[in-house]
Amino acid sequence: MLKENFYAAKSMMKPFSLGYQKIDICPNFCMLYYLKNVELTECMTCGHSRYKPRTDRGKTPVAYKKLKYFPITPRLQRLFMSSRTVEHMTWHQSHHAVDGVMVHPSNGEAWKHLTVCILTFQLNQGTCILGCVQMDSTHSGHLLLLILVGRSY
Amino acid sequence: MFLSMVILGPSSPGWNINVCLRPLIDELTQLWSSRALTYDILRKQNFVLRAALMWTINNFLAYGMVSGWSTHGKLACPYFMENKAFMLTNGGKASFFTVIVVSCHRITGTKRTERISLLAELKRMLPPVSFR
Repeated sequence: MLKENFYAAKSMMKPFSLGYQKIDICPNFCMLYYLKNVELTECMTCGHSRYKPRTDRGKTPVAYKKLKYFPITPRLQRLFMSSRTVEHMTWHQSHHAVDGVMVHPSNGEAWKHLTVCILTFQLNQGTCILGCVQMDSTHSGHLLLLILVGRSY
Repeated sequence: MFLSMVILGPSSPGWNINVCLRPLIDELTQLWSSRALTYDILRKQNFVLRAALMWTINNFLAYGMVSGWSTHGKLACPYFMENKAFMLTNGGKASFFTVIVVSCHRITGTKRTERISLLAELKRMLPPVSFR
């Protein structure tokens, strides 16, 4: 489903409330202007200004560097709202694995250990298991992806 | 697959990635300890959702950034800690071979054929203990 322009695409995504937070960050990566530091205008460590010098034209302050953070809680909750995706969330618990053959990380030792831990601590509510992938390139920005590997009941 | 974070800028944050990861860590801690109430459409009821981060996948350079362990020099490989790496006298690179090669280089006048046989023996050697 390709929308004709960027505005239409954003309008389509708005009701899902899967937006992102823009968090200002010190250009030398010293600190985030986040939670209790959200009002600060200078870095506490290096003293670098948070905003670019104000020009005559623009009145809103523009930060030197921003971090775009996509919260994962609404995204995980979203997966349980659709009947198509919710079936896949329990796949690894219901499928039958052949002994000695590893077809999915859920057949691995680490996963089994975690399942035992969850059962031991009486935490057998829905647990989403995530993997983290970092895409690092030295010349551009930095991407961080989270993979949803499965969910155990 | 979720896109979790985009850090803008001309250069990578490098060692300071831990500053940028703070919102993600906060949310993951919250998802594990205080949880989130979620509606399951299959069972038509609410349940308490928890999330656990099980592993990270990255290349060796990004591994150094995330773990905080230097991936350069003699102690670059955390699994090889018990077998110390060494540097050749005229080279600046750390090498992760075992004692045999060190002694091979130290013995002056080792014949070329002997060195080749030692290297062949090296190829047959076992990996470090953690990998066995």
